[in-house]
Amino acid sequence: MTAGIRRSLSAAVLALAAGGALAAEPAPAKEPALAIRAAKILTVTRGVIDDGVVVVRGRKIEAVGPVGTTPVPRDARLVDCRDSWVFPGLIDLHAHIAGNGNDINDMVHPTNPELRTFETIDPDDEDLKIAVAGGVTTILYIPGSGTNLSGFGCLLKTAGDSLDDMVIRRYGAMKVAQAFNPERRAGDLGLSRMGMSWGLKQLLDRARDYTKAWDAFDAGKGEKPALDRTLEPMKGLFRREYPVIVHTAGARDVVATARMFFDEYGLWTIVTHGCFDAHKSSPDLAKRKGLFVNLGPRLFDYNPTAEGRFVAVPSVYAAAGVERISFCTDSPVVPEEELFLQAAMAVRFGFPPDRALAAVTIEPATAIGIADRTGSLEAGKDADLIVKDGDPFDPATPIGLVLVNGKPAYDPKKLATTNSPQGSTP
Amino acid sequence: MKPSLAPLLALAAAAPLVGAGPAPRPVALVHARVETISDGVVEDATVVLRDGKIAEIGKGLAAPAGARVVDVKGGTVMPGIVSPVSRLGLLSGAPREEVPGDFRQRGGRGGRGGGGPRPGGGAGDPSLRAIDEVPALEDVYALALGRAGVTSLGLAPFGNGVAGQGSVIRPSGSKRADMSIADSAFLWVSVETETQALGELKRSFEDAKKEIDARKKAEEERKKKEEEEKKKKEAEAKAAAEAAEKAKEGEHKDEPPKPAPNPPPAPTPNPAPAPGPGPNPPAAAAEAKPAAPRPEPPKDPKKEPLIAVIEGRLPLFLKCDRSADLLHFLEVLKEIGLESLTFTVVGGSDLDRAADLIKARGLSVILTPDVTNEPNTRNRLFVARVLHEAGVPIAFSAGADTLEAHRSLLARAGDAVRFGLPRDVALRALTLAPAERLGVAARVGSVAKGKDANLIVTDGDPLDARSRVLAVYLDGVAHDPDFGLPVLD
Amino acid sequence: MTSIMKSAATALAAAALSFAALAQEPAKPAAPVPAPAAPKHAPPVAIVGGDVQTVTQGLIRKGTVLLRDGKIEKVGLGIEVPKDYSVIDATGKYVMPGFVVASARGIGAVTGGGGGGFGGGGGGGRGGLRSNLSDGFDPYAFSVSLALASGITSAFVAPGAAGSGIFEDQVGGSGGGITGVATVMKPTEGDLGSMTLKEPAAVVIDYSGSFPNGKYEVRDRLKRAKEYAEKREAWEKDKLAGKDVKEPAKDEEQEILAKLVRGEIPARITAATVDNILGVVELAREFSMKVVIEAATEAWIVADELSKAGVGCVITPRRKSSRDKTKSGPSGSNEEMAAILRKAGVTFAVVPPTNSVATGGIAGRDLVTFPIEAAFAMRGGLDEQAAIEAITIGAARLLGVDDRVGSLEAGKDADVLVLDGNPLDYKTFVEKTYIDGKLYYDKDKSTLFSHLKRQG
Repeated sequence: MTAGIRRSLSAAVLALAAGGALAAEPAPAKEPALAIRAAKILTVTRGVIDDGVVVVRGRKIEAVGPVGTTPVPRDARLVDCRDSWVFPGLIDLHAHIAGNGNDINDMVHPTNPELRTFETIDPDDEDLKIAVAGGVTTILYIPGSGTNLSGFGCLLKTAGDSLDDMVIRRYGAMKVAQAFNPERRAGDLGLSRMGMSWGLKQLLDRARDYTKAWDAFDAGKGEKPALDRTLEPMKGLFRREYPVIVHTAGARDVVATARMFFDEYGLWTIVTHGCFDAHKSSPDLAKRKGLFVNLGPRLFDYNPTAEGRFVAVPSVYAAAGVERISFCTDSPVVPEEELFLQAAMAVRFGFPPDRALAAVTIEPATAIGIADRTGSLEAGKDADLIVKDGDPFDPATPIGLVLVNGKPAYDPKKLATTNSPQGSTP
Repeated sequence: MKPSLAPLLALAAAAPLVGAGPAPRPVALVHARVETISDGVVEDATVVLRDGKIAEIGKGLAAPAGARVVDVKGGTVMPGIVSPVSRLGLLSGAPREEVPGDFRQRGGRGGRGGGGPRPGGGAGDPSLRAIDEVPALEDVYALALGRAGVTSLGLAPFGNGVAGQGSVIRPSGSKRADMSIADSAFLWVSVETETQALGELKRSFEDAKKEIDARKKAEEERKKKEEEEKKKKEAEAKAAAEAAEKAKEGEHKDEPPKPAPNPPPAPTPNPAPAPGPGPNPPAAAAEAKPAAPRPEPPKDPKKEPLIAVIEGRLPLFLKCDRSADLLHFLEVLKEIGLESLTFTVVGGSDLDRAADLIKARGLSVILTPDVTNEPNTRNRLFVARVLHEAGVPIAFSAGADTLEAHRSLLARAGDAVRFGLPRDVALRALTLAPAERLGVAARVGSVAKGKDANLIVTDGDPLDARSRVLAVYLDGVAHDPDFGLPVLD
Repeated sequence: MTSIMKSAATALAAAALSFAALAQEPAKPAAPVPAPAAPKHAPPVAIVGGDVQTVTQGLIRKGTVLLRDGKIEKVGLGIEVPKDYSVIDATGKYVMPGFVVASARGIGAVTGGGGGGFGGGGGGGRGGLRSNLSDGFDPYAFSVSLALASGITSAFVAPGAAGSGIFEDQVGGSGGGITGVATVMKPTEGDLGSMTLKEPAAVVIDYSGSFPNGKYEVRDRLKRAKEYAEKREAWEKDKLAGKDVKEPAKDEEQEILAKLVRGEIPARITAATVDNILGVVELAREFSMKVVIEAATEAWIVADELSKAGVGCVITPRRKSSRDKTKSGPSGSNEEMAAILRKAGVTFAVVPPTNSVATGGIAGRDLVTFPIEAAFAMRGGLDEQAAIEAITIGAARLLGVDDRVGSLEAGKDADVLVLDGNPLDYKTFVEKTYIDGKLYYDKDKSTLFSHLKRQG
């Protein structure tokens, strides 16, 4: 059987299947549809599908499933990727790109909750294009760690028609840097960990009170509080609309972070970095169900207490029972497009491959609160996906296509445009 | 029950008497536990000091008449500590001890640089000697004597590469001449692993070797010439005698026979060069001068020390930061055909790596007694013990050019024993072993008859951190342990 | 010997070696220090039953490699193993030549202590061209152990300012000049004598575009070196002809540059943009020198010119460099660079973005996971065979040591790896590293990675 005949036959099969499933539908002007057929589809949340198809309509995934049982609309453009794998677009919660490399640290005050990266985004940033070509479809673009609390990071897709098209949430998460880098500053309170903790707690207390006052007012129970632009953004933290993401590392500091933000203030908390010897505190972190851990860029630990071993950090966290693990690049420390390689390295060092894929898709999506709309291939979710000639972690195989919000953001071989619409012989 | 200090500190408050000569009366230390180092431990012993020397050692020996008797009450008498190599008290490049504090620092002394002092940068001058750098009046030596129990100090000269000659001093005296035991005890060579420096090092050795060969050759030729001269003269004499005989037969028989001309006096030969010295090369042997004066090329004082090393007359101390330094130096020696040269390695934080090589080459090592860590692990690394167990002779150095580093030597040696170094090896490494490296073992380093009366008296086990030094004897004179001042009768 | 004759001689020698089943007389290394006499070798070894990647003669499934007296004695299928050989069962494993790193920093350098060592200080050490990196080698350095665990058996190391990576924008310094001499080394832990494979291996030249005076100086020095070389050659001819002529003064530095202009050793020059690359090609032509270009970010644009000029490249396939929007033609990096160079016939080697062994915690970007860079080259369309060559024989050719290393052929140095899978698989670990027939690294016996078991 020649390839051509095979394709025609399968087109016919698809047509039949589509015909069977097509019930009487209302026909408003529908957005164009794509049907991507692949050798393997890694949905992340619904298992692996061999010889499957993903149907994309507009910005969303309309259907995912095995060929033959999955309804494919007649008007869908067929993208034949039968040598490839399809999996969700990657998500990085610790990125410093999208602002042309500058403007991520305003280092006058030790805490700056009033600042945000949203205004610094350049949608045309070259780094975003490179990131997309590497399969990263969503990033949390956070300010740096020059101060103890540098501001709010913006959550955005890495491609789109305009900034508004790309931004998911202007207030993605509040960035705190607990110890390490902020120690470079000098002069005011906050030079040491003591001062930093004190400063943070004072601010959190004020923000909590502020939120309470507004909550009361909104429920009709109190006086209208004065507007405080510094504390305004922090209301969302206490209302659990978005998390605090805390750059923290070392065994001592990760526990301090968990104690302060998660235990004491009850905030939705993401611990990011968690490197050096923080893995030793992983049992402590594991006790805190609902605490998110975002590891990277350092994924192994080699230090004198490791007895001459390269300690596999993600594996230690997993073995300790930490459930919510995701990976990051801290781009540009590791270039954004190498997020997949971070997952590959975790696997190399013993982290289970399925968890590794989750750690760059559904886990970061959950940690940042968008798991309902992206991070896995399910009907109804954003069509953020990657077509690749093989294993997602393998550096040796190229990415063929990246869709962001259903649109081809990276398509070097014009797969999404040159494949013929369904129904005609390719 | 600690013995009282009173008899020993009787006149400590008196005006300092620097450079006291030998005590007028003999001294008998009684009821002492004597660590002789050379001959084991003698319990409940008497040690008699006379005219600055150790006169007698014996269990239960009676004190001689007229001796000043000091009852040690069961405390320990051991030889004074010999610090094999440091720049304590020397002016250039050495940190001075500021406040005589009373806390001890352990481990990691001087970082991982190991057992030697760190002269500043700059090439040295082999003709210079450490003794010339010793300041005339220096408190730190007296303090080293009293507080640290150091009775002999090897001092390293300034500089890198083939730096200069080390000297050995006794830490007391107002004039360098009084202090010096050996002006030229060793040649100090530090290895810089960099092409220029290694090249210069190699050239220095090559030049010295060439000079030796040239002298040998000149000596052979001279001997040959002498032989020829001798033969010629004998032949002449014979011919003359025969001629005389003939003449006598022929003419006047009453002429007295010509006396045979005296053969030229056999000159005393220069000391024969010995390849590779044994473990105890003699310190700075004076060259024998030939009986018949003849014009000699002027000796270059910058070359002579290295010549002496190659000929086995002067020990070589090689400063190594790491085993790699030693390996590079051995390569240099191999390239110029001096593989059999033995020397003492000083320092080296990772010498355990090269232990077998060091043993195979017959080298000895001077290093600190400290326990460190294997790099990148928490595993303890005890280089001195590894070397000892590989069969390498070891001697302890303070590791830094400070008084504190010297003061803590006994305690650090105690730690070494707790970490598995045999006690007798540790004590020897503080005393007789460094003396041997310095070539002064005939005089100091053990409690033995005839040696200098350099002793430490403690109220308990000297390697126990709780013991106190009660007195230090230098040439038979007691010095107090606080200021290192001689105690008068 | 002119460079043409030498290439022919090398080709003949290579051909001879590939037919010989038994070990030939090993070629003498080019180091100025005389080779040690009759060194004691490790006992003979037979590696049996693995997939043997010879690199130059294909993959032999369930093949055998015999190592004897520091050399590869035999490679093939169904070879009988002599009695006294210790047998290593490589069933299910992948056997290949040790990795050759065409540009490395900080392996085996002496840290602290006196001067020398590389990756710190100015270029070239105290003696400029006369400064030998081998004099600063420390066979006990941790970087040596880690290199062995990473499967590295030869590495090109050069003097240079700290932070001078292989990228033009990272090259520090004065903007121009002949900065020093490079060495090819082997990480033979504990054995200083075997650490130097070739020295001088190349002359490092800074020929960056921003400083025209620097370029002038370089060309001036090369001109003088050429004159020197010609004078020496003329004198030698006269001597052979029996004429009585005075020997022209011999100069150590000029001798090294003479090797360069005679084509005996290459120049190693960093150049990233097309302008700078073509400038280097011109320089190579003008002085008939062999040149290897590092960084070579835009080499894909002028691949044919490079091929014609016989210029080789050391590249990092994954590194991205944006298009220069002010230029009209193509610019910047190209993921397909390696495939393009291969097609054009340019010899190249790959190195990762961090060309040292790193313990800071970031994985996958340094020499510890060296073959991953070759995997990135495949991402851009390079075939597997070429990818393997880029980390073995291709690199060896650029370094001028392909007569000794880079493939499993009888007569070459017994630098062999046993891996638990295909080297281009990101999950593969090196299990055993042999150099000169001696086992220097065993994964199970070292603490570094023995606790990590391969999954899948």
